Amino acid sequence: MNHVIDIRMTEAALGGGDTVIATSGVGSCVVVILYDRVMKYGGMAHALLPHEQEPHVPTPLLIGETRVSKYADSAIRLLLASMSAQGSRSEHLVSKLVGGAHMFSLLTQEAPIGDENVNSARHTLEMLGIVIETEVVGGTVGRNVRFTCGNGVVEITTKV
Amino acid sequence: MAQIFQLTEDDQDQLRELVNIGVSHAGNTLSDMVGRRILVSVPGVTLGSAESLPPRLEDGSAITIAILLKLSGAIDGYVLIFFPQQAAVGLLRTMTGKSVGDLRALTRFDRSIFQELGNVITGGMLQGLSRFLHLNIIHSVPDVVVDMGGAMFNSITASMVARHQEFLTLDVSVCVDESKDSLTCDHSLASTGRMFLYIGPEATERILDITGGMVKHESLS
Repeated sequence: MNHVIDIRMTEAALGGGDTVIATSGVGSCVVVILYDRVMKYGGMAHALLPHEQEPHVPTPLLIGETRVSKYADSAIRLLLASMSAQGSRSEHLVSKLVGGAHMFSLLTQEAPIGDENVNSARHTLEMLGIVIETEVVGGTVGRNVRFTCGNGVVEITTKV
Repeated sequence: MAQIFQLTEDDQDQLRELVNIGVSHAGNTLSDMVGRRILVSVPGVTLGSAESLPPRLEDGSAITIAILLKLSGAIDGYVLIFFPQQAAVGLLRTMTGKSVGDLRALTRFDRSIFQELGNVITGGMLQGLSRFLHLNIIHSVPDVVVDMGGAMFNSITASMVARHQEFLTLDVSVCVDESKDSLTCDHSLASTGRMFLYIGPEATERILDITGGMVKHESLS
């Protein structure tokens, strides 16, 4: 049976082998997954907001560790620093993005936070030279996400 | 990060009492509308920010109906009303006589019933607040969404954090179909909805200035 790490909104985790990192209730947040195709492991972050005002150099996560990381740009830097510390090379990494939904039209009219989260993640990944392999973003529905760290498979479920 | 809000126990009591005045007004209106006793209470005042987020829903993956309204005028913010599936289905049956097994099968007409419910609860609350504070507060047309409660709650939280460094969340419990003698909510999923009033620092300060002035006036006279 898989070992499951449940992360909540604003958290990030790193896992390997048969570990599954799961998160639920993804609305306007963006979930970023980094997977190493050679070393066969990866990490996932459930970010609430697009940009950190005062970015800092992240202390790498260990395999199996969960930590608070609220912003899309800094969560990506945290995952990359953690995977680099494990020996990953950035050209072996691929990323997947999920989320950025517009659940309420009232919110979207004033602050399209879902779009901003996705754009921040795209921009940061591009700056860091990490390929975006898949995106399931936008729309109007909430999502649950499960990432199997050992093979990179991402399962997305919706309820409506 | 330095806290913008410096709420004392007295401030929190004033806010809780103020919203109690508003929601009890809404409860009476709603009771008249559905022909059953509706009990409302304000169990919590929570300070939210990017650093400390408000509490999450118990079962964020459960299908829920949410009604979102934007507040404008003298106070800007949002009202978010949640009813879990069982409570929402019961409410719909009470109001229209219609039985629906799953919220995902709601028709446009059914959704309009929940829009009206949002209008009544929020309108009642704002009427109570406006009279007490002598402020003009208006609300938007309700936005009704059926989805996972957690995803909807997280979306409004993200929007508030993006707009305000800190914000206040007042958690209101709406108990439907309470027994006649009950004085408290039993908080069972079958009967309880939750309402969250989100307001930013400026609106909170404005309210506390007014209520603080009232308290001073009372103690002087």
